[in-house]
Amino acid sequence: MQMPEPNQAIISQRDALAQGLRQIVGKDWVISDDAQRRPYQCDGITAYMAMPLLVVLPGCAAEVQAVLRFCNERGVKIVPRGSGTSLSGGALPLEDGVLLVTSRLCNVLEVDAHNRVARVQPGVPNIKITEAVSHLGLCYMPDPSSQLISTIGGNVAENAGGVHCLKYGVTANHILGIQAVLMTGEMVELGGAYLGAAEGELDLMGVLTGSEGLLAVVTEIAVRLEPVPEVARVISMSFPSVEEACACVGAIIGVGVIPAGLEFMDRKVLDAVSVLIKEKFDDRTAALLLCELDGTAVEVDALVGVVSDVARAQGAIELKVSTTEEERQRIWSSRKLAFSAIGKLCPDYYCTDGTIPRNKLPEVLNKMADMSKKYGLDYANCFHAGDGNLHPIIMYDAAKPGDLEKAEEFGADVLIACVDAGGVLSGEHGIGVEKRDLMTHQFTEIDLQQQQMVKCAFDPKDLLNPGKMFPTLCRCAEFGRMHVHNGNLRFADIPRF
Amino acid sequence: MLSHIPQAALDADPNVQLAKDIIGNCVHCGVCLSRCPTYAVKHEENDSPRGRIFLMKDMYEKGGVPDARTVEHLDRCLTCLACEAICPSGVEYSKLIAHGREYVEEHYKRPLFQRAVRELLVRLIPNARLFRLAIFGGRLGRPFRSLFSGTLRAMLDMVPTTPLPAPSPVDRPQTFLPAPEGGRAVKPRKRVALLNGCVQTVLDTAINEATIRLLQRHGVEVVVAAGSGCCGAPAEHMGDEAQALPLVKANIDAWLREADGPDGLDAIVINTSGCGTSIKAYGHALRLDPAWADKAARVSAMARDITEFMVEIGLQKPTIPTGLRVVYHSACSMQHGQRIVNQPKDLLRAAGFSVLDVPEGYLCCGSAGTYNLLQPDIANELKARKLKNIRSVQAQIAASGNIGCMTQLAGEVGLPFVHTVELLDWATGGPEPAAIQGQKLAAE
Amino acid sequence: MTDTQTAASMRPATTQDVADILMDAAHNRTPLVVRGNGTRAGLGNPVAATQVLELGGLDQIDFYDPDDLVIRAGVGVTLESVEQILAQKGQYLPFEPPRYAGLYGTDGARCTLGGAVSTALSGPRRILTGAVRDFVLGVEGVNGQGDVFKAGGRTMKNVTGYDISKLVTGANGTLAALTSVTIKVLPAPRAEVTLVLPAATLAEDVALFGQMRALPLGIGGLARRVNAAGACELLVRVEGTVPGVAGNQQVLAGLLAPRGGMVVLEQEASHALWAGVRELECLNARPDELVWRVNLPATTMPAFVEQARSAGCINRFFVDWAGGVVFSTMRGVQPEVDTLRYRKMAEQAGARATILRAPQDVLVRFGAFPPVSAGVATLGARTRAAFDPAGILNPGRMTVQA
Ligand SMILES: Cc1cc2nc3c(=O)[nH]c(=O)nc-3n(C[C@H](O)[C@H](O)[C@H](O)COP(=O)(O)OP(=O)(O)OC[C@H]3O[C@@H](n4cnc5c(N)ncnc54)[C@H](O)[C@@H]3O)c2cc1C
Ligand SMILES: Cc1cc2nc3c(=O)[nH]c(=O)nc-3n(C[C@H](O)[C@H](O)[C@H](O)COP(=O)(O)OP(=O)(O)OC[C@H]3O[C@@H](n4cnc5c(N)ncnc54)[C@H](O)[C@@H]3O)c2cc1C
Ligand code: SF4
Ligand code: SF4
Repeated sequence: MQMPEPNQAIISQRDALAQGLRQIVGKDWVISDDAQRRPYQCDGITAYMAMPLLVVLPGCAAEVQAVLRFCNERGVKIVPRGSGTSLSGGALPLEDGVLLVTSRLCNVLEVDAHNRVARVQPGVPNIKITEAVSHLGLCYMPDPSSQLISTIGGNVAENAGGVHCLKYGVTANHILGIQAVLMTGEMVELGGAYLGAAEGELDLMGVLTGSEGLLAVVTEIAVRLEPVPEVARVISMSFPSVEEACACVGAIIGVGVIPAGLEFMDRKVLDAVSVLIKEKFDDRTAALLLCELDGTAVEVDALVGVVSDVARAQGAIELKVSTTEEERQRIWSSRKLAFSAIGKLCPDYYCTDGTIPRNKLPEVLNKMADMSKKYGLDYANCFHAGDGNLHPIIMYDAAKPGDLEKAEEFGADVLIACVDAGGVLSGEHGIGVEKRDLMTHQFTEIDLQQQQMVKCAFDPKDLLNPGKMFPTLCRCAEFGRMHVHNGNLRFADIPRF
Repeated sequence: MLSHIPQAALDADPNVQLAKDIIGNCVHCGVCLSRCPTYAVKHEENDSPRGRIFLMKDMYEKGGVPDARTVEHLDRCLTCLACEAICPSGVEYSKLIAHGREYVEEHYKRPLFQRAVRELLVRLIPNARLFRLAIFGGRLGRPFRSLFSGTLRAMLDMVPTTPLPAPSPVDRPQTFLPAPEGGRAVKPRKRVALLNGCVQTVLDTAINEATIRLLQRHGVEVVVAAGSGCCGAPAEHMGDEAQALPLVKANIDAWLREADGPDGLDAIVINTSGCGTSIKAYGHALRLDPAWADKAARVSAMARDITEFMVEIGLQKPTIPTGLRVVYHSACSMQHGQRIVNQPKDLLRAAGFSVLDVPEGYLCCGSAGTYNLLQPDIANELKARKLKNIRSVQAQIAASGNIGCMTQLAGEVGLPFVHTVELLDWATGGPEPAAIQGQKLAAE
Repeated sequence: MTDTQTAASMRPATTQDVADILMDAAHNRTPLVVRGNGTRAGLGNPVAATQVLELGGLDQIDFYDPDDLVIRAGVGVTLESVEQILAQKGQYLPFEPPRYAGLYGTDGARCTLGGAVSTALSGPRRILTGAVRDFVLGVEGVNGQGDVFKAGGRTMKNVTGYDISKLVTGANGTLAALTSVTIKVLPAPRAEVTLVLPAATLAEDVALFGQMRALPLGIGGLARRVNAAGACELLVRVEGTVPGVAGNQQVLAGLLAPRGGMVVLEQEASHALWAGVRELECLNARPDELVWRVNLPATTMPAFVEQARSAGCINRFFVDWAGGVVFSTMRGVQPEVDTLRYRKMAEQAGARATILRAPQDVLVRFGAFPPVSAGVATLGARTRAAFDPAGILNPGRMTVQA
């Protein structure tokens, strides 16, 4: 993985820049010495590291504006960062860029129970929103597994999903308004704190969501709150084969049931987990589906009946249905521990995020088995089956020379297979640097150029988080001028990094 | 996380190899940040567990003298272990930070003033008599406190203004037989050793007295083993292994003497969760010492918090219906260090109290052993946050299982603050805790 | 000068044709009216163009995969036919797209899927299931340079590149001529009932809406209207599984009992009622009246309506989205004066007031869409230029020259 060549002229101004930024945010909130900058070198992917030029922690939106203006005027790049849990390297620092961290912007500003919205700062960890409104019987629905710590700003930037987004939708479906600061320091308010607040504008908020910090720095968010479902029950369903489990996913949705969550775990995951939860899974089980149903008690009881019938018809050999909240938590614990359990089987693992049409699950899973043989690396599968969102866990040993590269190639092959099956490179983790160079497999040159033109509209100098998402840098000036017809490759000469 | 610690360093010190393995388990997921009190206050990666792991990785990779900033961030860690308890990957942060601190003490020369304060604390706390003297000295010094700043001032502020209780007779080595039934002596169901912790013996003698009564009432024989004393935690928190080890070894000897004696020992019961955590870690602390490894492991395996032990033997029916609203504050050493979460609350409920949780209950109150003396700013902020959270639930009594938290909070919480065992003792037939006697409790 | 009096109309049948037309137009800088079948030409500002690019001919169904809850179709396919195809599998378009054919005096059966996406009009169910933007998974379109591009995909989750599907949704044809869209569909609820009860004051009714919305009862419609008999009533739609609806209906009946006078409409009767609400029938808009939509926080709605009514800016109105949207008529006597005042009132209330129907001169002068801040306007203009640098796609449709 290659990043754009750092600008040495900027790096040489580090001290002066630090001084200028200290005048904006206060002396304690600019980190410039080596030892303290190091912990910021990576996000949730440790395979990629870079030392940030400076780390700045603004304390309010006005300071964010001032920092951006300051950097814009001096041509200094900015990388926004929330809690640094991105799994695609979106918050990977640049050696010639300021890492702008939102962790001090962590207040829930307003809860409006009647209109079911909350206004929050971007550094608020996802779970804190629900904690702030739970006494009202409300919650913030999107629940990435990282919800204890990933920030709502990071969630917006990555359009985060979660186990419950099958029924309730992803982050984008729960955002009503965004306040954001452009690289120039200019602030824009998009949408507002009610349904339809964005009517009549271009949906700029929609394109900001999932833009991985490349378009603007989000400084405030109005989120939709939902009533907490009265009950939730989970059915654990064992299948003798992966194919039958996959077929059951389509069958459940085919009968008109949208579960709150529908998760898949293969035998390897189950074996790893069973050590931790001290529970054995039936020997005949090749794959397990966890299907959560929520709503009112009567409704859920009825759905449990429907889904159980479907599962049996699809060849399930064992069904366990939770009857108490404790049981539900226990059944889910196997899924929650899956990644750490796999972590115990191998020194390192690498997890990608391709998403495919649900009915292509068996096909792509079979291909994965072949790839595993090709690369000689073991893998396991634990993923959001209901959304077709795969999370293959590729096991490797970073200490072994060449292993990481093999794992990356394996991951890339999986993603290519996903795209070929009609899917996409990323369902929820984003492109970042990790999947950046595969974008050309999913999109044509023109598609990508159209996207980069949007980037130019927001950030014409390409100073916000450059080097992420696109395999080439934006050349806003050329884009505006040049025109080549009929999909001929436009900028064949643009260097890739 | 992959680290590049030089092979020579790994070979030279097994603790560095251990550190490498622990760092290797960390996947940098950040989940631990959500529970870290210093991150909650500072919002800064360097003051988070994940950041500290990175700093230590760096420290070992570079070798030599760590820089002052790294030391500062490691110092700020409360060793509350909230991070370890929540970590999905099972990263043993406690071991990493313990050895990291040893490394700092070995390689880093602290400024003179810091050194003096630390030495004073290490010497004072384990020694009940000295601590008592120091507190008296402190009381004399109090009027002059405005002359002091920072740590020294915090030390003075911690000195209780109320008179210290007289040394309790129960804290001398001796044996307590089970309470007689119908005038007749009963055969003990169990025989346990009680750790009569150091700070606790000075600050609040009633806790040990209540513990002994509670155990006696439940047919348990209790010994205060000759030669046992401070668990060694205060010294260890400051990375002073040399001071801690003799204390640890004295305890092991004292308890094993009892265990291997004619009457044997079923458990070592501890009513200060801070000490409990450290005794449960003896096995690890001495694992590399062939002469002590097995003995230490035996002691660790016998260690029980009083609430764990009471759940094992079952609590008697309450004799008085209290129905009071008790807000239960779980000490870090209880919920994170020993992962004892439900037992104290279950017991209190069984004893007839209505139990309330503290919002953000996972956050440390800032007491953390000697922390409030060494990092008064963060400690004070955490304390204020904890007080606000405790007050927010509108309880009548506050309870906890750790003397450190009680001293940190009792004065200002606006509620009688008692030890869990005092309530259990009271509800099952003991005297009403002194802190509650004669108090007008908040309305029903 | 307007899109209704057209000189030349082009009706391509393939994406390539659309690309060719646009490339030419870009080359010659010929502005175009972009539309589906033109059933909602009255929505938005008049476009200063004489040539019409009509996309109604792109009416193929590319695929429909009921087990995967996804359909991809040409933009010209009619909403009616999409809904029929989905209904055969017990599925539906969750955003309940209104046609507004009655409003514009056009043929609702010819409303297109592309039009629904481009106007982003969502029906009463928005409070439960979401808006159009929440269901557009992917698009293919031709930008103002004649380039065919695609964005998004067909999977439920997707963070692969910018979400251009959202950007073009509701862009009213000002970014690209969409050629096909991929839509997430859902199983239609098996049961539906509507509870009808007498209204009280707006403030009391909004409070009651708030109470109901806080409950997880599958409420897919909360409106307040004047019925044909002139009586003011609240409509509460409950949807879901058969047992679920029965249970939730009971809970609601308990909550609403103090109001008295409840009538229950089931299945078809309920469908028909809400189709009327969706089409703003209860507004009885007369041809000489202006029709408005105002989006605002439900809690500020009663005061806003009171003020606007007493100022004569609202003639008749009804309320949807649990109080979050007010549809109203405005007398056509002094439309310019009233429009200015109504917009001002909306602005002060933090609301967004859109003109759904008005005489051309009013639209030309004030713009159908509420004004945005200078910063947003600039960013919007730059974004449009990123798709359509020559400004040939529906120029002026959404924005008025200051
Ligand atoms: C254990 C674990 C589980 C996870 N589970 C899920 C899951 O279930 N679903 C899921 O979707 N993801 C998951 N993730 C990925 C990750 O948590 C999400 O992508 C999350 O949204 C990132 O939030 P963050 O605050 O950590 O952002 P960061 O990692 O700090 O940043 C992520 C991106 O957002 C940008 N950014 C951050 N804040 C802002 C802002 N205010 N304005 C503009 N741009 C900003 C950054 O530049 C970067 O590109 C998981 C990660 C981990 C480690
Ligand atoms: C408690 C209360 C609540 C009210 N809530 C509303 C409200 O939610 N919306 C509202 O518009 N007005 C509301 N009104 C006002 C009342 O309905 C008006 O008197 C009515 O709208 C008058 O309109 P008009 O003068 O144009 O029609 P008129 O000339 O007075 O009425 C002529 C006929 O038109 C029909 N008609 C009038 N308005 C409507 C309509 N909106 N929909 C269908 N048919 C209609 C009726 O059949 C009526 O007989 C409310 C009044 C009260 C006291
Ligand atoms: S939770 Fe565990 S694995 Fe994750 S960053 Fe913290 S220590 Fe590392
Ligand atoms: S032990 Fe406590 S203070 Fe130290 S890093 Fe862990 S959570 Fe933070």
